[in-house]
Amino acid sequence: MGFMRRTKQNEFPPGTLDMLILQVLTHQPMHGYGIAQFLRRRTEDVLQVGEGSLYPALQRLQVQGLLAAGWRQSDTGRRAKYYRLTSLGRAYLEAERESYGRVSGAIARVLQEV
Amino acid sequence: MRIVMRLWSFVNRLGAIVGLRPVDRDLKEEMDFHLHAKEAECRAAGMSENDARLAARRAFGSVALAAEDSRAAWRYALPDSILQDVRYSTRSLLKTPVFTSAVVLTLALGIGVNTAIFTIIDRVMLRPLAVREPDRLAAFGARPYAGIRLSDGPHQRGAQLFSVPISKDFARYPDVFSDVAAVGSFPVTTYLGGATAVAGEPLEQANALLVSGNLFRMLGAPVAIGRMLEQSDDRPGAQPVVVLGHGLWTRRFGRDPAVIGRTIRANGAGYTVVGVAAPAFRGLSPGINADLWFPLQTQPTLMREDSLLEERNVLWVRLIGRLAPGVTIERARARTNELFRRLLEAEAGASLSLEMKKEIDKLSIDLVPFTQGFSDVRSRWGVPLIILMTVVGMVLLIACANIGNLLLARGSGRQREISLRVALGAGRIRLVRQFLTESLMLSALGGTSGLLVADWTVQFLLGVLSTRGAAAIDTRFDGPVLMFAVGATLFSAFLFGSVPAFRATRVDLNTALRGSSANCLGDRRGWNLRRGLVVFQVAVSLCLLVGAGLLLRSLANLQQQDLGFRAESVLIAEIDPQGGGIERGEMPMIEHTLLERIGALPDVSSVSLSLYGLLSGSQRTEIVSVDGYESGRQEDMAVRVLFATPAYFKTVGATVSSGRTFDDRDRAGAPLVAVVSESFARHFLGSRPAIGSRFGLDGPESSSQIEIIGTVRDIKISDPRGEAPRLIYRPAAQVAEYLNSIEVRTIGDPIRLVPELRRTIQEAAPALPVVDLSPLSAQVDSSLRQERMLGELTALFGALALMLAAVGLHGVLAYGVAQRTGEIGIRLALGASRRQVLWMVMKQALGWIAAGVVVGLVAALALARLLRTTLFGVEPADPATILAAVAMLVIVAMASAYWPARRAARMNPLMALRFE
Repeated sequence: MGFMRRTKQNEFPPGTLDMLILQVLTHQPMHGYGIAQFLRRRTEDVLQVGEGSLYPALQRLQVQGLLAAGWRQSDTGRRAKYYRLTSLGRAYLEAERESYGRVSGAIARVLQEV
Repeated sequence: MRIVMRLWSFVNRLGAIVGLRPVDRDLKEEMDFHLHAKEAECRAAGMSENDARLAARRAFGSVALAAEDSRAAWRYALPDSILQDVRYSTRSLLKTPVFTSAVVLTLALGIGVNTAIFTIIDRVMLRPLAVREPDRLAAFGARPYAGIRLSDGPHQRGAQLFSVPISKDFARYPDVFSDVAAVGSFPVTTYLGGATAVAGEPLEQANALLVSGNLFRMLGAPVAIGRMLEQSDDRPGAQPVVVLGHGLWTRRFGRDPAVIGRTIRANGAGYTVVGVAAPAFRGLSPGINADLWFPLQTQPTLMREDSLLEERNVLWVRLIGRLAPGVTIERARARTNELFRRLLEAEAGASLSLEMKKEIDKLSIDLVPFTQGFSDVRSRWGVPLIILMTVVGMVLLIACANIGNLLLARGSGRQREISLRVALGAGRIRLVRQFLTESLMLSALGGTSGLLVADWTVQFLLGVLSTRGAAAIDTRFDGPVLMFAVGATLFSAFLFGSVPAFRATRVDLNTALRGSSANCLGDRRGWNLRRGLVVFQVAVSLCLLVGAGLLLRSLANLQQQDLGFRAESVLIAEIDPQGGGIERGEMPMIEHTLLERIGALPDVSSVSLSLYGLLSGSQRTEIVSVDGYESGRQEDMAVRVLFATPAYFKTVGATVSSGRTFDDRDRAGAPLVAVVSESFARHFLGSRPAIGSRFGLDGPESSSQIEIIGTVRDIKISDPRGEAPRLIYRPAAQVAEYLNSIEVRTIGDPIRLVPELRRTIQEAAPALPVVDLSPLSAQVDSSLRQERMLGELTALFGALALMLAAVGLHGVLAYGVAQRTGEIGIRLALGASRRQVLWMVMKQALGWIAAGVVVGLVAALALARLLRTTLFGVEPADPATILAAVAMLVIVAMASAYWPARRAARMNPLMALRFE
């Protein structure tokens, strides 16, 4: 269950998928497909994610209490499972964003031409 | 925050296990929606329906993987996979019910008997007394000595018994012991209820211990209700009190708490019950229960004898001390011996000579730990129990070897399944874990049923072990025993399961998946292992058979030896005139009546009375001084003494070798006479004629001079194992003592006479309690109880082991034949005769058996040497026994090898060649 494999090109760096999903859900609840679409459009197709791999991440976040889920009528008429951010999720997102910002800032500083 | 996340994680997963969330169904619907939506998007972009669907699938990735990973988020990984293993193992075990039940049964037997023996060992040898800090207690004297000994001065080597006054002296030195308590060295037979026996009604008998008032407090012995004995109860003039044992309280008083303060009658006197001991505190010797605890002060009343409390020369108590804080037992030993010598010198007082002082200096007290109580039962049963433990341990090993072989065979039968799983990506560790789970499950089932077997076995063994007075050992299964059972279970599982698990998962995918049996030799290394196991089983079986043979021969020797008396057609009645409240002065009259009435019965050829019965466990020892015999320095001049009526020798069938036995001339007031045993005559008189020689009893200053009037051949009067003791017989009429045994020689079967005899005794002396009435041959058997039990059990387990080994041999051989079917077919087709094939297989078996015998012999000889002290009349390396054991083994093994060989020879070559 889950080997560590080298990140292939254009894949999400490990650990960031969770953060991005949470971020996507800050404004409104969405279902899995909607999240996938949003991510595709926002990253301009740069970051590819096998859309199926969203679901394990969503389950994980749900188990940890960062997301809450409910079934609702979607705009296509079919039932879909909508995920929304919990307050715990919001707090977690804040922390992760901060941490990510620090790390990427540090990396950027190193890569800067001196 | 992380903590809250973990908490949620836990709660949600729990909910999933319990089934609150239908995870699977939700997931499917969700992913279906996703795919559908993606498909719609692609179609809107212009793709055909088919292309759209394919594109959607491609974009999604593996549905199965996503589903599995999603589900995994809701589970705990490890418990989940373990549960999976358990479910899988259950299914696979249920698919082969014969195999499973055979294995479980074998394990139940093996683990069960091991647990049973361990239970007894734990109770008898390992468990500490249920008192405060038992490891700080020490007993004076290591050997299990009981009785009353009269000392004529400092002549005891390795002091075991002490007088009451000296025990009080010891207690006055708190630098070594914070307290010292005295305990009567023998249980006092106590009759509860009425003052004397009501005619026909047996009184309830109980075992009582006389203890000093400070014993309970020193031990910190727990009390269930009421209070324990105190020093104030042990003073002259104190009110007679008693503490009940928990067993007696349950049996006779129904656990009634109102018993406190009541007066009970014991041996004719009244005692107030002040407390009941806790159930965990059953006595001071494991395996022997104390029903009643009396203060030492009550000794004269309870024993209906003269007081032994002030006599410095009467040694009858054992001492227990609690070491002062910080004192080690070594230091205490030195100081105690110092004290002891000083006290003895003080006792001798003015008459202390240099000689005496030197004698005293040689005395020593062996201070031993009292953590488990007195070692009486332990020292008698220690060795046999250890032997039994070894035996059943070996049986378990053989059983595990068998099961190991079975599992190996089963594993190789599942090669295709395993290879498939490996090809699909299963990790080796995972597979090994699954096989080990299977082994553990088998073992667990075997272990739990084993507890049932253990219970029955313990009950059975206790039925054999317990004697009158040695009440049952507590047989509840608790901590140490359960831990042992669990340990044995795990050990067995590991033993028989690990190698097959690793072996089975080592796969060469190519050959295994193609499923050909072109590999005629089978797994070479596995074969070696299997052969090795068979050889091991044969070797261990041989060890057990040799051991059983030696022990059985020992037993036969003991049973057939000449004990010096003729045991057939003799009845022995144990009577207790003191217990019946009969006065010593009444005894001659009663004796006369008994002899007359019993002698008048038809079918009685002779009758006599004596001090104690043959093989009854009682004995009487006195110090003798023989005219014309210079005793060596420190020589033990103690001899056995028996008082008997004249017809004794004729009744028990002792052979008179010279002179005469008692008759009517030898009565009170007449010159004192005695008959002695041949060993006595040989030792003290040498070549001088025994008849006419004189000796005295009770020390060198004794004035009683007794003349020897005859000699008899030696009798093994109390122990069939050792040498016959030097024995003096004196006419009962010349000694004013209670006699406790009636011997009756009958014409015909003695059992028939029992009821009539009992009635006759009752009529002759209504107040006389008859404690036991049984044939002498039964007593002989009973005294050999230990040897019999050991011999029979070892034989039983030896047979069991042999059977298991035979089954194992058969199994492996059959498997080998099955593997070599192709080869055998070719041989037969090429012209080999059936006999040649038969011989080929048998030769293989013979090779293993021979190897097993060789290894087994070496081990057997080594182990047999350890049995030396237990054997009687047979050497550990006795060739006849060893030969018989080997022969039996070979015959049984060859017989079991015959069947697979026969099947191989009978094979149809055509079928064999076609066999895939």
